Amino acid sequence: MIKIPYFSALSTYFSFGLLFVFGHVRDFFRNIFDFFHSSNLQGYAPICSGQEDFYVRRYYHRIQDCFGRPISSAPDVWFDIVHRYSNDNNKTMKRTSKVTRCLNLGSYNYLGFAAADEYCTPRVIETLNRFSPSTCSPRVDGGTTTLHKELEESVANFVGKPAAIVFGMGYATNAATLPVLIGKGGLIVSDSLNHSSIINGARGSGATIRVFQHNTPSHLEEVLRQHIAEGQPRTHRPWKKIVVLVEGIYSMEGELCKLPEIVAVCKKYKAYVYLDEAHSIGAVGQTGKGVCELLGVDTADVDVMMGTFTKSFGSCGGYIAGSKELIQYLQYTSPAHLYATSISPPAAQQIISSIRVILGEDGSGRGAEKLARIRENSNFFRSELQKMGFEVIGDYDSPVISIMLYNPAKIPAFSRECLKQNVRSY
Amino acid sequence: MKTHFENHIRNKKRRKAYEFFDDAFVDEGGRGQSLSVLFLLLHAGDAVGPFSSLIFGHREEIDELCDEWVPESLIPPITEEMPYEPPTLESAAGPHAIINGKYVVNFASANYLGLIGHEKLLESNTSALEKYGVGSCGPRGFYGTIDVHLDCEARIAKFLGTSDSILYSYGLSTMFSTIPCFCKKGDIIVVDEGVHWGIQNGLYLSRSTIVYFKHNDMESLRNTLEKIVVGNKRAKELRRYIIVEAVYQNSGQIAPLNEIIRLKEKYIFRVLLDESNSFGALGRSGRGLTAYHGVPKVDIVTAAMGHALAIEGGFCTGSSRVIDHQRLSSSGYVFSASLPPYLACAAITAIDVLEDNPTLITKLKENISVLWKG
Repeated sequence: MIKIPYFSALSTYFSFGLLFVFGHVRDFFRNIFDFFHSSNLQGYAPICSGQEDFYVRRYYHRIQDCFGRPISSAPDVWFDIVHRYSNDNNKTMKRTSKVTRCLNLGSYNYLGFAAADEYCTPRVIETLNRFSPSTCSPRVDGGTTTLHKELEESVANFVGKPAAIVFGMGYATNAATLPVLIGKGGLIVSDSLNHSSIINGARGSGATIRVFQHNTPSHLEEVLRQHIAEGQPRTHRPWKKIVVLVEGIYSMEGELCKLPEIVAVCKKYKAYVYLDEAHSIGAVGQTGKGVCELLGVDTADVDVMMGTFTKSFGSCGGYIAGSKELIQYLQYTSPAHLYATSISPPAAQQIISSIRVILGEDGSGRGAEKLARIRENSNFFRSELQKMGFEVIGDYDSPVISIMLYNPAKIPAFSRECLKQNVRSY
Repeated sequence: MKTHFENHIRNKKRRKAYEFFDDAFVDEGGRGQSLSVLFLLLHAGDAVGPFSSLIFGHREEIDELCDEWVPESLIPPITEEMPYEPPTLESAAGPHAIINGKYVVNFASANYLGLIGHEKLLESNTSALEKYGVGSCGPRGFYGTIDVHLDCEARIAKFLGTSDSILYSYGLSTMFSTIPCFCKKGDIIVVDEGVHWGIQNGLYLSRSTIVYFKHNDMESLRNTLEKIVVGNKRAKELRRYIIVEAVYQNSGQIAPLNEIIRLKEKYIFRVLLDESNSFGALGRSGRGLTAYHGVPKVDIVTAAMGHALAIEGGFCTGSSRVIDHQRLSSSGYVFSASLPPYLACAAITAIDVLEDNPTLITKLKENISVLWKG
């Protein structure tokens, strides 16, 4: 945990407070102005009333040009950023035809599979011609092809579990799997800084949700002890089951999960571990197999391993890996498997090919080279930033590097200065 | 859920800090209070760690309870029907497919217009794959917005005649992200009983007040709206929505949109229409149910592109206000990687093909009538 110097904390609160006051003053004049003009709502309640979109209107719109910048090439190491301009004080942005070549420090292209690759792309195009871009049906109806079967075997093999199931979107994987695994009468203990997809899946399940302090196994133990002893709220009946949700690498902080300690705590209290390896699969570990390999945790100790293919594999989609029975159960009950269109065949082929490259099965040493390069690059960048005096959070070997700016005014200043120097970060 | 005792301890700690500062700086009452607030703000992150385990009795008691507790297994036992294996295709899911080496007629895919295997689509996909690779490697807010996404959104908006549209990377996530974005706690949603899982999940996540009406029954809808609006004065200040599907995924029935629009205007509700199965299949050049019935624009229209358009993903279209709101509040849009660029290119090409060949829709209608007769 980082201790913020008092001066930074005070100045940050002061800046937010000032923006808050300015925002309310402008809203006050806007209300007076609107009073004299008729509204075109015709009796409907407004989509956002009053303070609901205060943050968007008065904070976010001021610096909107720093977010959502369009690019006109593949998100490779160097990419082309499209310039935008605004005529109405940043409320709407229009594209121009001017582009600038910039260094990409912001995309999730950990292993460089984002652009056309010499091994993957020809195979992807061949698959496209054979299977077409979509199967137009869910997996159970007519959306399972030989490619999907091959993909699931390949993923299970890579991750180190007996079986795997693949979905077309990483977000939907969490949102559709958690409600199936746990329901009312169960307890979900989730890390305080978990991703929105995990939170949505947990809420959609109907189980009771409790939060433990970020990456603190001792607090997790306390929470588990207290809740097992107390039982369900009001009735005090024993819980049906307990699932602990953690991530391999936290996407905003860049911290590695303290997996060995958390798995030990969960084993002791008979809770199930659900590990979301969205950012760590393919990017950390000696052979790219994720945090389990990096931290020396046996994959059999983690009950459900989830991950996405958007980051290291340069594709789209998500997977769940676990025991054969778990995967059979998910194939029978998961809504994303039963109702949603199966993953696009070219995307599936990209994943299969990139796994082959990472494991070295394509005959070249490119996979090992890519893994060594991302490790060296992230460690070098992190140590150099620390030498320059930046406050960098996150652990060594993690490809996500976060610099603390604190003050809201520094966000657009940093972003626009980087733009001038042709560097892209976020 | 914290016990009362725990709350008391925590409040006591805070009160002590507050009183200390109040006494120390009490020359002007206002200054003392603002300094206390500042102190609390700066130390808000310091959690009440050690208290919780000490409060609840002895460690041995808790150890005993933890040892006694036996959880259920993560999944229920596997029954006979669970290991069912669906048929595995060895070719594209076109009108004819190959399963186990045999040619079969494919009635299972939602390939309404036969766009699977269309040469123009394959061509545009190939050039997009060579230029952009497969994935977009980022969410829309952080360098995942590629120019083809913006072009695709503009094309869809132009095709449907609306101001703007927004692309989602998965058909199923479109509805379950859009609904919680607009419907918050306290709002009223009137929804058909037979809607698909995506909408049901979105309704559950929105935490609004949900009222069901009988499947595709306009009389039931009218009565429900009447009950909600008349006699409930607060209803006028709340946001009210009717959610229906154009062609129901579960039953195949078409919603009588002209009747729904008439009711919506009478009782002042917004309509959220899911056109996944009607986009590309009904209306002039496949513009959907609004064109089929000849009604004015519906407030929010969503559709999954995995049906008639033969690609993946989904979109939502409506007025600029509606779309702009989703760009920051829709969780499936903000917290997820964007649609792969080759699919966005394919969407533009598919809509071009659809607009240039209205005969595709007539062919679809002929096929449907043949099947009905048989």
